[in-house]
Amino acid sequence: MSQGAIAPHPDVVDTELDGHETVLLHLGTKKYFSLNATGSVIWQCLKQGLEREAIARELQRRYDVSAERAAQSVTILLDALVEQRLACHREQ
Amino acid sequence: MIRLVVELTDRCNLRCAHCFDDRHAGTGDLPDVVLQRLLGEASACGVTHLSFTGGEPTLHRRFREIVRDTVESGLTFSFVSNGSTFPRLYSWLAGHGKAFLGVTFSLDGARERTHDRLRGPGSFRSVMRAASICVARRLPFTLNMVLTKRNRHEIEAMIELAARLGSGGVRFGHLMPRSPGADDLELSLDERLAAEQEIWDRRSRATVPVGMAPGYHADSPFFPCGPLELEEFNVDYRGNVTLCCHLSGNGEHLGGRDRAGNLAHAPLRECLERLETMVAEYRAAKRRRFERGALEPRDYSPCLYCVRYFEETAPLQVVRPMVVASAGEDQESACHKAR
Repeated sequence: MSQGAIAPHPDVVDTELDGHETVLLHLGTKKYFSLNATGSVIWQCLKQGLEREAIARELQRRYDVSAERAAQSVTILLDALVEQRLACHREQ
Repeated sequence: MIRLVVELTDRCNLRCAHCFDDRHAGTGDLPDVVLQRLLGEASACGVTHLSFTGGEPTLHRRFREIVRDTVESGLTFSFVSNGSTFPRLYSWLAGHGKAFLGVTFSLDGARERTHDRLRGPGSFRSVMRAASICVARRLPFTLNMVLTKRNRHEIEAMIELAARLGSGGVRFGHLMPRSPGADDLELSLDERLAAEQEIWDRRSRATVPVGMAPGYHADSPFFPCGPLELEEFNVDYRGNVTLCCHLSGNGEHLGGRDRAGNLAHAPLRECLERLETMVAEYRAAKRRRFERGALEPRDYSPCLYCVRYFEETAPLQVVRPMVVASAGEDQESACHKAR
């Protein structure tokens, strides 16, 4: 997978639920997806324009995880988001 | 069993191109005294369900208490919403169990641009967020689309959208005549009929329930809608008990002929009895007109006939001023003359 900067897809509507869950709806595919608490943190970071490394640091700050584990979590989710067209590579 | 459509407020946070000005004039909420009477007398009058509308009903300053009191009165409830306030309501709403029969979101376009052009920027995504919440929290919801010239071509897309969003169904309705500024939105009679035919055709292939709000063309001139079957009536935000939610907002132009009384001054039972009389008179008059062969093609679209009927029988009607300044006159003096 590309290591470039990722941004939420403009056709995605995100809805935060109870502060620890996020539902994503792609207006093109009309598919819903659910993000758990960790996924929601990553999504919020994406919305703020943070890059992978900064997102991983934010995960480390919030949760008791190693840098390696945090980076892996970010990569796995970002890849899945791109695959489902919920996020896209940002133009540099 | 009677259902009451209750306009909780005429306040709204949107300014939809096709809405009656009276509906979002922002002049008031349904008074507490009316609500207390309504909830206190509803069950004894055979009312089992309240459907809250507006304006945006969730903007009523006591919306939560009203819902609580409704449930405690043994009634079920539902409401119509533009979805914008739903993120603040859903977790509380989920606690009402079987008393909550569902929410209908107003969605006037299958495409974001179409809907937002009618209802304002961002309003499409508000509905999508609300739908997302309903799906995630398993709350029942449906969609309602008012047919206009701007969205009439999206009927098929709307049905498909409803199905893919997980909506419990989609209902189409016609724009009521006399919506101010809606002349460029209102379908002609032929366009109405064509849209209806398309809806009926597509309904058989749809994977979600598809319906039309009463008001579509009927072969019989004696169309059995909720109010005329004495099953559903309307309470406007001022406490007037009126015949039909479709006519509400038209009331000023109908000389108030669709009103049976105001709950601030009269018991609900008395108002409902007047409505029964009103419906009997209406039916008799329509039958006489039918037997004279005096019904016109548009009279087979029930809401259009109702507007005509109440206009014709209104002793006093409000006339919308159309002020045209003649040469040499400024607008202000022309307005003075019009008064």
